[in-house]
Amino acid sequence: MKRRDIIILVIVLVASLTLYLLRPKAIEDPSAVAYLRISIAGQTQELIPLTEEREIRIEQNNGDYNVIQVFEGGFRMIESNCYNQDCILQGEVTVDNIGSRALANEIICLPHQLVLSLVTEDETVLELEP
Amino acid sequence: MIKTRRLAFAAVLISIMMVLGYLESFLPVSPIPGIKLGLANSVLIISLYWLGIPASFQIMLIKNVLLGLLLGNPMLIPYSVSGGILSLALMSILYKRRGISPIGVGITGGVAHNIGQVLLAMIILGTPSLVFYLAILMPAGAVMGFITGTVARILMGHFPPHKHLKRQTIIQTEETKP
Repeated sequence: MKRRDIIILVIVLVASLTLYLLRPKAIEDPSAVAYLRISIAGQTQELIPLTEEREIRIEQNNGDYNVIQVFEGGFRMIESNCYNQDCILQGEVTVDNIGSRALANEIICLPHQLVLSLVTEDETVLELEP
Repeated sequence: MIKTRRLAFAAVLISIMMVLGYLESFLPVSPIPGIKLGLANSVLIISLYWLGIPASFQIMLIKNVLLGLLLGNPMLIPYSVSGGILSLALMSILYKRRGISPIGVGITGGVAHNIGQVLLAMIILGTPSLVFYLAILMPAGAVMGFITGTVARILMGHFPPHKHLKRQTIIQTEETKP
């Protein structure tokens, strides 16, 4: 390790720490209704209130499919025909565990360009404005 | 003669990188997607020092496309290429500067690779909030980069480059390959 190697390392660590401190930690208003936002390739497809248990199957034209399990206050990916199954390994997102997840409020299936995010009503309204 | 030597050496480096990438695909999947060792980066660092910048870009592109096709996930080739381009670009800027060893180059490469991939994901998936994911990926990239940089430094110390490789000639025949 030379002098500038250490400078590079310090820059990286400071940048990471800054992002870590700025990251979304929890839903601020606990009484707000939480929604599941489903988006494919950056386009919001559906908003589902997280109030009752149900399963949602998403099929795309090219044969890609994902199955989401929705329950009160959260959701998880339970099935996908993508090759790496990363989305299933990402576990569940709930109103309470956002701060402790690497991907915070999101589950991402990269091969299918599918993003599931947990959003509150305010955020939802913001996102829906054209 | 020098061109042939360099071409042969570049081909050997690509095949080593392919084997390393293939072997790494057998490692258990981490619960945090995006974190991987990236040992092939050691080879790319050596290529940067010994063959120069243009040849290294060619090697990186060929390796990423071929490995993507080999492992059956062509959907993800753009991600590895965007990571590879940003990573190699920054490593190219740094590697000849004074006060920077292959370890610093490796750390830069590992971190930049993750940044490049996340940037592309942010654009394709339309999720700017992914930037916070870098809080975890960047330190992971730094650790992996430290390892790959150290490996590259040790290897280069043990196997000094053949004197004919040092000439800065571009491998022209490589371009028609992929």
